[in-house]
Amino acid sequence: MSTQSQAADDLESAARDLDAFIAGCDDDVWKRTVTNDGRTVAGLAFHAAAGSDVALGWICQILSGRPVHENGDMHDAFNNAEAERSAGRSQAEVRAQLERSTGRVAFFLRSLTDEELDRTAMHGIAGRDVSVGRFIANFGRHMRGHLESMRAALP
Amino acid sequence: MGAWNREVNVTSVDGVPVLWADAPGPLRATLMFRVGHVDEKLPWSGITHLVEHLTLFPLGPKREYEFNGAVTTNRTMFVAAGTPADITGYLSHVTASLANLPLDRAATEKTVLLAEASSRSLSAGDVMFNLRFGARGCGLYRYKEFGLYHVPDAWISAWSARYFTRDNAVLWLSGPPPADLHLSLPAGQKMPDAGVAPLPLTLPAYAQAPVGGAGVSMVAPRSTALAMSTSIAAARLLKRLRYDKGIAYSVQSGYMPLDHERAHISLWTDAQQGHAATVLNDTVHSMYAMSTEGPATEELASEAAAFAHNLDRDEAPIAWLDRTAVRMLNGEPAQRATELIAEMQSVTTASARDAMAAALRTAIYLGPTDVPAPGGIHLYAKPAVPPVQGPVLPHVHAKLWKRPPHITYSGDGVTLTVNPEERITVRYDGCEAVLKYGDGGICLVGYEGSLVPINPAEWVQAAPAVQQILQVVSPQLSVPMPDEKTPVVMDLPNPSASRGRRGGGIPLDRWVGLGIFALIGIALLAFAFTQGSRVGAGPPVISLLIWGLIGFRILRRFL
Repeated sequence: MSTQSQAADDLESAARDLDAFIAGCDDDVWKRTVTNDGRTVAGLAFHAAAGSDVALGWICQILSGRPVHENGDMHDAFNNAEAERSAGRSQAEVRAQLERSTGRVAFFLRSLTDEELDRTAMHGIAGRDVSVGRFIANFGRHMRGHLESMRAALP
Repeated sequence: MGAWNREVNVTSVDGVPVLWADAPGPLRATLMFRVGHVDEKLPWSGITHLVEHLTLFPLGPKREYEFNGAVTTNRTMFVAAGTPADITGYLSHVTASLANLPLDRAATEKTVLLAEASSRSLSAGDVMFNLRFGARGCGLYRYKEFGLYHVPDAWISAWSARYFTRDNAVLWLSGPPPADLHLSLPAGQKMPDAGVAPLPLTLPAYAQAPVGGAGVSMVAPRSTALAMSTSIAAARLLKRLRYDKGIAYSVQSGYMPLDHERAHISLWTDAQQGHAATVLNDTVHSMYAMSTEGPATEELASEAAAFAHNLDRDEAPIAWLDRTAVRMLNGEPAQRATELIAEMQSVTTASARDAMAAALRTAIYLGPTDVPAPGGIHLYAKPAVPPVQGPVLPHVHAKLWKRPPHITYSGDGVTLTVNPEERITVRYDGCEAVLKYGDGGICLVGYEGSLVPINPAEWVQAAPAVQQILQVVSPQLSVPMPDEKTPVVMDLPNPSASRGRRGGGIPLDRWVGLGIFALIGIALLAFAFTQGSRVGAGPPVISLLIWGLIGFRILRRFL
């Protein structure tokens, strides 16, 4: 299986797990603050769902040879601000976002050529040059990481 | 060109949704993104404004066509009017510039923006938003754009890359898209509407602020009925205040969707000093009448007819395109003009009344500082934040007060006690920004808008306390403002200005007071020892003792 298909399949698999988790949350869990994260389940689920779009933007930058300036501090600050605004989102809203983001990102990943996988640019969070090929493995991993944190918030 | 057929054409260019309708005049274009003040946090507020300025800077001050940029509560717009070639060139420049901002200009542009801000006065709307939202979201309008003091270039680029994407954009045009139009924007996140929650307040309430007029703001479920009853209430108020009483010029009404469900509604009337109380009173009565009786059937019909009539105007497609683009940007379904007219025609007195009644439960009335609360309405109070316990910083002139102001700080936050009735607390977990001034002082800004300034010259042992506080709060909240001075809490008269010349460090008038005090003391002593009475008994000695006690207090205050 190609790197591109593997990354897309992994993302779709993680998205199915996340969707099932969201569907199973009751109101109490949905509003709970996730331990060791500080965001609510609603805010973190939204971030996990919409985060693929942000990362897709980074890939576009790398593909065009432009550095990704966003570093760890900015990333946390921007994400926290977004989580604050997303704390009141409903499960239906987040599931719709997840479906939309996952569909388009998976399509995009599968459309990447082998030549494009080799393109590199500086990424502020990694602190070094990263290739598109290495970066795309993060999509499913990012979603799963947050899913585990949210599961840990359950009783 | 024939009359507008009230339809909007939808297409896309390079992945960006494009709306267009034929309108007379030059080709107009607005490229808008779903990012604005509500997406910022206080320490980096103004970052969107900076991106907008930097994007347009390379175009220079003069062009043969009109163009501009603007940042609103929840969107950023790049607008132009000209020939199709002008528009193609303009949008090509904007999209290219967003991907590669001229950051060598950033420092200068920050200064330009701070200058722009210094000429802008605080509006009633800014105050209304801040009272309801605190130091978040729409409430940020009340403050300076603090990001302009320090936000690094990398943040500006990252902000642009994150939010100025084709998935977060909509373009509208007042004619068909030029064939050579390209919008080279990267993919990215479609930002949802801004779900900023209002503060938990006890409402309705009345707040005072240094504003020249009076008005009201409310938040309620979005509906055509609410928009119509707000507009009718404003028209009634204008008739009463301007045409019947002659004490006001205009009544501004606003209906601003906050998200998919809620809208912010406001009415504001400018008034001369002396008339604000009447304006406020009439506003209260007008809103009450609208929420209990509702508008008349004729008023509703007139509103719907006026709207339908406006759709026949030349500029109608422009307004409708913008409205449709905003809905699309916020992820809302498009609406046809005919659908809205039908919706307006279906609004009844009862539905308009009920919509206003729901809104009025969230009312914050606003008036000048010298106008008391209207009857039956509580004074506005921010959400209570529990005070902290810990070390105390006394005021440097603590002896001036029987119960002097002081600051208490701990690992949880800072409490400013102005007097036993007035305490302001900012807890670190609810702190939105820490302003760091050039004199070593700081000011903590709480989420509900409270300010606690700690000026080292105002509080004993403040400098080490400030250092301890800065070790606890997140560095991300810091806003360095090296050229500005920390505000003081207690505005004491300047001794050198009010007391005249000094002698030996003590003002002249105090020397006079001390002299009189000493003379009376000597007279009492002489009286006690020359009237033949025994020392230690009798009225003169009692007077002497009392005088000594009073003198001690006076001397303590003087020295």
